[in-house]
This record gives sequence, C-alpha cells and structure tokens, in this order.
Amino acid sequence: MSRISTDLKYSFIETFNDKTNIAIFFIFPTILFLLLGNVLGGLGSQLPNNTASGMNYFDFLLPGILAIFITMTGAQMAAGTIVNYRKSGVFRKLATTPISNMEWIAARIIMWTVLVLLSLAVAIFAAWLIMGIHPNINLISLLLMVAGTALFVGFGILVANFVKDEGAAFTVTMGTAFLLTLVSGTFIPVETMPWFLQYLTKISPLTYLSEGLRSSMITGNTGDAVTDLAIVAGLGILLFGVGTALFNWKED
Amino acid sequence: MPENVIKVKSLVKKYGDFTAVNDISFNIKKGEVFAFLGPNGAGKTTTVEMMECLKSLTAGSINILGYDIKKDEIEIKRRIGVLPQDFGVSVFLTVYQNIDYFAQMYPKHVNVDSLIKMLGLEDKRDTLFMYLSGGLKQRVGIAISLVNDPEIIFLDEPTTGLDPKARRDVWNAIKDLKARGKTVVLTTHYMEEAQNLADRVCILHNGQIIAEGTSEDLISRYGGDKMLIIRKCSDKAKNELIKTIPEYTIDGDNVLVKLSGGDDMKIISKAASIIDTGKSTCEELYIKKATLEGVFLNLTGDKLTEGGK
Repeated sequence: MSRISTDLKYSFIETFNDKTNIAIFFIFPTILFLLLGNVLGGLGSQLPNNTASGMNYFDFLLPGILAIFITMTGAQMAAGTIVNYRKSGVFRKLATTPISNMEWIAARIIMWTVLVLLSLAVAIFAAWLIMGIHPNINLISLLLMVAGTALFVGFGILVANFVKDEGAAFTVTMGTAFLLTLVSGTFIPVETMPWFLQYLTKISPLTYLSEGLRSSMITGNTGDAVTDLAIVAGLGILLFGVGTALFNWKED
Repeated sequence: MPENVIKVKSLVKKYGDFTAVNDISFNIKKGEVFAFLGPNGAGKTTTVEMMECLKSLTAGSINILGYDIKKDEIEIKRRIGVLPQDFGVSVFLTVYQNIDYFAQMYPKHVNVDSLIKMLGLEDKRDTLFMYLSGGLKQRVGIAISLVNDPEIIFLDEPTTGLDPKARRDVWNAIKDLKARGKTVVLTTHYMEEAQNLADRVCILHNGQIIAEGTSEDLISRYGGDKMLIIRKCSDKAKNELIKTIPEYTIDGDNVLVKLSGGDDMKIISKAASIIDTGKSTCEELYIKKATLEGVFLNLTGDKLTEGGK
C-alpha cells in the first residue's frame, strides 16, 4: 500500500471515529441548507421581481449555500487539521518517516474533497426530500465543487502557515468566509448591491464559485459556467501552490 | 571493538544569535545505549533532533550508518526509529491502527501484531489512543519507533511526566531493545535513568559536552566523595559525633561526614557506636554514594534536575 493510500485510508477512519465529525459534515450542512433555504427563501419570495434573471429566489440561493459550505468546510478542515497536527506533535513524528509533506497534502486534498462532496450530496438529498428542490448536477457543477474545495483548502493551508492554534485558525477561516459571503452575491444578486460592493465582488473568489454553480445548475448558461470554472481552478492552483510551498513540517 | 554507527563532528546549531549546540563531536557505537544527560536547555533535544532529520545543521557533519545526513536523509530515515519529545499520533485511531499507519510509511516493516505483543499492548490493541494512560501512550510511541526494524532508535525524554511504574515499564522496554542488539540514543534529565540504562553518558551544558564516558568512570573522575549521613540526631548525639568524627558538616539535626577512602569503615563504626549507646539517639544512618548529579554539580556548579543554581 502506498503512503498516500495509507494516509487516505486512516484519515477517513480517523474522521469517522470522531462522532462529532458526523454532525459537522452531515447534520450541520443539512440543517444550514434547510434553515437558510427556509428563512432566506421565504424572505425572497416576498420581494417582487427579486432577481434580474427572473429566476425563483430559492433557485438563486441554492448554489450560494453550496458555495458557502465549500468555503467554510474546505478552509476550516485544512487549517484546523494542520494546526492541530502541528500542535499535537503528529507532524513532528511524521517528519521522521519517509513520507514527504507533499505526499501527505496530496492524500488530504483527496480526502477533504471527497468529504465535502459527500456532505454536499447529503445536504442536497435532504433539500430534495424535504423542499422538493431539483438542482441540475452536471459535470461542470461537479468540477466547480472540486475546484472550489481545492481553492479553499489551499486558503486553509495558507492560513495554517501563519496561525499558531486552532482557535485562531477557526477565527481567520470563518471570518474570511463570512466576509466573502457578504461581497460575493451569494444571498443578494450582484446587480442589486451598492456600486462599491459590486467592485469587491469582482475580487472575491466566492463570487465565481457561486456564479459558476448558479450558471451550471440553475440557468444552464454553460459558457459562463466554464469561464467561472477556469477562474476558480486558476485561483485554486495559485492559492494551493502558495499554501503548499510554504507548508513545512520541519521545525527549523 | 564495535563499529561507530553514528559519527558527529563539530556540530553547531544556531537560532539567530543564540547558539543552542556549540561545536560538539562524539561517536556512538553499535549496540550501546548512549544517553545525553543535562538540564532543560542544555542542547540535548536539539542535538538529537538534528540526528533525527527534524532540524537542519548550522555547521558540522552527522554520519549515520555510513550516510551523510545532508545528502541521504531518506536512507537514514528508513534505518532509524524515532520517539520524538512531545510526539503525537491520531487520538481517534486505535493502538493497532496508529502503529499500522506508521508501519505503512516504510517500504519494509515488521508485523504490527508482533510489535504489539513485544510491548505488552495486546489488551489495548483495539483501544482508541485517547483512552490510554501516559505510560501506555509512551509504549505505543516506542512500538511506532520500531515499525521499520531500525538499527538505531532515538528516544527523546521517553519517561518525562510518567509515574514511577510507567517509568519502570519504559526502562524495561529500553533494556529489551539493548538485549536485541539495537543501538539506543536516549536523552534524559533524570540522573538515575542515565545511570541505570546507559553504557555511556554524554553530559551537555549550555550546548557543549562537558563530560563523556561510562557512569562509573564519570562518577569516579568527577563525582566527589561518598557521604555518611546521620539524620535527626539529638543535641547530645550531635555533640558526641562532632567530638569523635573528623570532617563533619552540621545541617540542622543531621550530621554529614565526608568519606574519602582509607578510614571509612572506622568512621562508620565510630558513628554507629555513638548512636548505639542508648543515651545519644539519631533516627537514621546511611551512606550516600556519589552520583551523576554530583558529577554535574561539580563540573558546572548547577543542579542537574532543575537546570539552575
């Protein structure tokens, strides 16, 4: 068994042996999905002509919720795990074995992506069952979810290089996710925002992730979705590259 | 004569202006237990962490089993086992899963269940790491350091924070490794640990080697004299003792007598006869041998266990 597959296997076992992870990855996203969908969807339906494209507000909201979840989970899982492993001495032990930090990161990016996709699947299934939503899951939307996870995992790795403890990692990743949510057209269409916020949406990676998911899953605008996918993937490669280049488990 | 499996020459480690390890050289022989002894901050852990490939060298060279640490890190990692200080494993994996995880990191590894049996962890095989006691966690750490059947094992402060029973268990595991012909490199700030386990002891102070040799050799060279301790004496007994015995020191109710050979038996006999009269009483009489603690004190003026004056 290769070192990557070993880490992959045991990281899944480790995740599911911790029962709180079941709540974090499967129950929490489902509740978040249903709660936001009900509250914001209900509010949105009271607004006349609530979107420029004329789509139902809940349709508009669904990809945004998925994007927020990818942002929060991807960044928090990566930053939290790395900071915890560094603090508890796991990296200290791993650094004395032949596995390289790049092999470890490769295994973890696979694990975190699969975990995010699994929890999204559970949340979408619950939304379909309870609220009757039928999102159009296709290849581009799947690729966007994978690229988005890589992007925010890369961000999490980057954060982990600069913070010392899990509390700080949580504050930075969640704080960033919250700010990005406000300036990414996740809950409110970009064209309805004040002009200065509209500029900020252009530099927020979450904008391209939620717009891409919206185009691929709801409006069927494949051209826009592919452009957004390219931007998310490009930013993902950049952030992931910088994060992993700085990531070192030696203690000099 | 056993070959040198570790050769360290002019080793230096600096952190900015601070020199943690200052130009030290030593060799470690195959099959021996070699202990670095010194107080916290002496440079023990930094020295072994450079040998464990955890820290880079500022200057000097380390050769392990014929491999240069700067060029052949992976080859060295395959051949050594390491229990780092404050190591961690997954608390949500069982004992077996944790050991197997690390075993799979090596191209060749030993059978995990045989390691579990060797360290006496059969009853805890399927217990999550988080539920183990400190001593059992250290034993799992030692098992993990043996997964690749290493020729050299580095144990960095393996008994720090353990209760006496757990410490004895770890000592037995180390003795067992030596019996199997493994080379063990140990760091400790416990004098009795080095004295009990090590074939040779290297005493570090402020990043430099201040003495190196067998415990007996170091004690006879630097340990100072044996001491006769007569405790909790009545005033009458104290007066009798100081009239009769030369080179005494009074410490409260205790009388301390330096034993420097020659007349030792006579002095002990005199002291025993005074406190045996029934009129002069003391509670206890014993001989305190010179120890590595005394070696460190005599060489540096510092206390070994507290790392300060």
